[in-house]
Amino acid sequence: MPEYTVALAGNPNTGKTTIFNDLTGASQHTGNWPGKTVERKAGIWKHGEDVFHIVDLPGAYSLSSFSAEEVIARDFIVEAKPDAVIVVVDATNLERNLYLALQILEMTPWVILALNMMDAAQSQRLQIDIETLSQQLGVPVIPMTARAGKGLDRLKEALSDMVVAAQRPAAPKQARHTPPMRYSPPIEAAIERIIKVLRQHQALRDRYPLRWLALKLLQEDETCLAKVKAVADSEKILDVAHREAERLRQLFHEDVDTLIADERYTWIHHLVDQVVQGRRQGPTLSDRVDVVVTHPVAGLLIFLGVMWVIFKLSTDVAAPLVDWIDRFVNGHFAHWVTELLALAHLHDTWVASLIIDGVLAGVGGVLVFVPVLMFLYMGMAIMEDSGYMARAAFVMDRYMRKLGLHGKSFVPLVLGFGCNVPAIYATRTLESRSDRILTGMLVPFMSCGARLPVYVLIATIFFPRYATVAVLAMYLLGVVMALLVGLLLRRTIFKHSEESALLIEVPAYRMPTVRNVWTEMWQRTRSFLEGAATIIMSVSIIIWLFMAIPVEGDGSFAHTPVDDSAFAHLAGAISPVFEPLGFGNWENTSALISGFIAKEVVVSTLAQVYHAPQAASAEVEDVGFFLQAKEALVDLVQAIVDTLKSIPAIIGINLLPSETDSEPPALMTAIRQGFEESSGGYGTLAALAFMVYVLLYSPCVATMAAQRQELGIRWMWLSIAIQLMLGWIAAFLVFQGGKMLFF
Amino acid sequence: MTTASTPQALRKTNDNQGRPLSSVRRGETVQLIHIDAGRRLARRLTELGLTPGVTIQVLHVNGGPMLVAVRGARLAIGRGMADKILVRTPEDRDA
Repeated sequence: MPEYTVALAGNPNTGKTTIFNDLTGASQHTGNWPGKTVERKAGIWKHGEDVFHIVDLPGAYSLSSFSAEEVIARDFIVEAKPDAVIVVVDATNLERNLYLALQILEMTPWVILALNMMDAAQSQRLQIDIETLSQQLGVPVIPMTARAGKGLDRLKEALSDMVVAAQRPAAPKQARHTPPMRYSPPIEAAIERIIKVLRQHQALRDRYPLRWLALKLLQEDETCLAKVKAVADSEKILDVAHREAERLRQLFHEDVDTLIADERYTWIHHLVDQVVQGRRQGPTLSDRVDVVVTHPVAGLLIFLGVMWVIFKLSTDVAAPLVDWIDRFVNGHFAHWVTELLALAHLHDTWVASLIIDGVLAGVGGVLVFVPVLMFLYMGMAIMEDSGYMARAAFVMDRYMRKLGLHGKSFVPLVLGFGCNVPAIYATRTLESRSDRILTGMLVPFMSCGARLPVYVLIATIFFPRYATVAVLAMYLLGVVMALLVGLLLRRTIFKHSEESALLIEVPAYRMPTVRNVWTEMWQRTRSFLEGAATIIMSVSIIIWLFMAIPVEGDGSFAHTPVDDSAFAHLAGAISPVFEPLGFGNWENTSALISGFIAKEVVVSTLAQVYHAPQAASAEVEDVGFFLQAKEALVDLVQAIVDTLKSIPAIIGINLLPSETDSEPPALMTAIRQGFEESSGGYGTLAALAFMVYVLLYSPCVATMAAQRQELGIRWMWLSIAIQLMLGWIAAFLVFQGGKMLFF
Repeated sequence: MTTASTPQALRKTNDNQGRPLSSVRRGETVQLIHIDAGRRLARRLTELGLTPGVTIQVLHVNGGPMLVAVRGARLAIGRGMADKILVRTPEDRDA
């Protein structure tokens, strides 16, 4: 069974992903490139007996060593030597897109040009002479409209023809391959002279296309210089390359990079003039729409409106589904598991407790994020696929620049108000790694939805008249802290990282396709489930273990009141840390420890440790499996209906009856008493300090897991350290400062 | 010392016309003379099609960044970068 490797290359926004999805279907899998935090997508296309491994290279505008993405794409083509490279180009933007294609043609002869977006080219009345284009480039050119599935068959056919042709003994070798374009005589002469010395080295001759390597050495490309240096007695090569580069500089009074780019673009310009008829100079429809969308005032309002909709989708609209998952996992499902355990005579044992309170609670903790994430990713995918993301970055750039970030960073930060987890994953859309890290470090300061119930509970107990103001103040404090930390990091750790100026292509608007949005949404959600599930589950089980171990009293393992558990003792041991902040008793500390896992459980832990009568957890009647399954299903349908009903709420129409859930007054009194005691009579100040601490300390394990996945483990720890410290200092200032000022 | 067609020479002989892209107003069309930036940034801009002599049309200016049309593509360029791109008004616009 013959196997082939095919690389898929192209500029961003050319429909490369669509073609990849079409070729590989459900067989695709994502991971990271070895040693890099750049996403690697690969999949399989089977054609008769032949198996084609399709590797989606990171989208790039060129293949110099400017970014990790470009180096990855380049190394793969040159070193992994794929049997074919499909270069996807946008037919409406040929001049810019052919630059990358030309670079790839200098590396390998086995290229297929997928001329995508022919529908847009037709509606712009562009006529492209495909035959001439193919002749001039010396490779097959396949016109396509990938969004509509057009041209895919011809692409597959060309691919299978190409790998057959490449097998023939007479096929040109990569090392001898001559690309379609010739440079001006002085540059060609320099290339020739470098090739002459390169040819004497077998190791280089076997490994690299020599003409390409010579050109790269002439440009003094850092990674290629390093590759050559690794070869024995390479001094002569480097010497010749340096001399030739110097000679060209003397001759043209210009950098070799600029010279080469200039000659390539000149060549492309002539080619495009020759093959494309009907190019217009005037503004396009996209340009006219952009008059409004990129306007300093209107554009800002539109952006805020879009963010509002996405924010609402991921909170209010997702809420009924989140509740349903919670009810299902902890209600019906827990009940079935309990019955199964009873059948196995494990009822009321520690095994049952571990499975129900440890594992199931963990599963629930992971699954409740799924609807939130799916709605967020859907919003993001639509923004990306439609071309709006680039406009959003453009509009927000002037504001984000003050933070040393560029416009695109604003999107993850705003999403952080909904949930920090997808916000961290959303940093993936930023090109520079230092931007991704800095933004990912600031996201936790955005007060997420799960922190809100804590503020509400504490504020209603201690400042009933100013509850709204207090809650709003928390959100603002988070933003201010993000600003301060951002500036601080920019001036210290990120002082030497390259200046992050905005430089992005703004693609023409396009209607997003259901398929692209769905694939993107599902892949990202799956990636979260795979990455975060382990850490959340492990932490959930560890907490269960601490709660299960009796330290005093006459309880046995897994049958012990909270007060007597190792958990309470652990909290008691940590609580002196919080004494200067006014809330250092074991009860509050327990809530903070479980809040370290997830802010959602702070309120329920408070209720548990302050011994308030708990709201009964979803009672399930004993009516048999099928009735219950039906019930769960009806419940799900209701949740979906509620989700649909809550969509109009985005624009202020509320179809759902308002909830009236008030905490039992007994709990409120108990909490009030607890804070008064722990603070020595300054309960209100301690409560405020508690709110500040909840805002600032690490949001949840899911966020940590996301940070570990996206930024790496070192940055995750640094982020946690900053949050714990900053939270402590801010709460200390609130409590002690308040005491000094007002009492 | 050189012919007037090299970028440096253009910059020297047209001192009064060499100005940063950031100073160009919306709707204007200009010609690139030179990128006055570090090697990495210069290379990146060059590879996006901003080579000497290319025509740049400024489509929108939004306080900070600007949206320009270069070689049929639309680019959003941050202010700091636009400061480093030196341009001039093309003399023969109709040619």
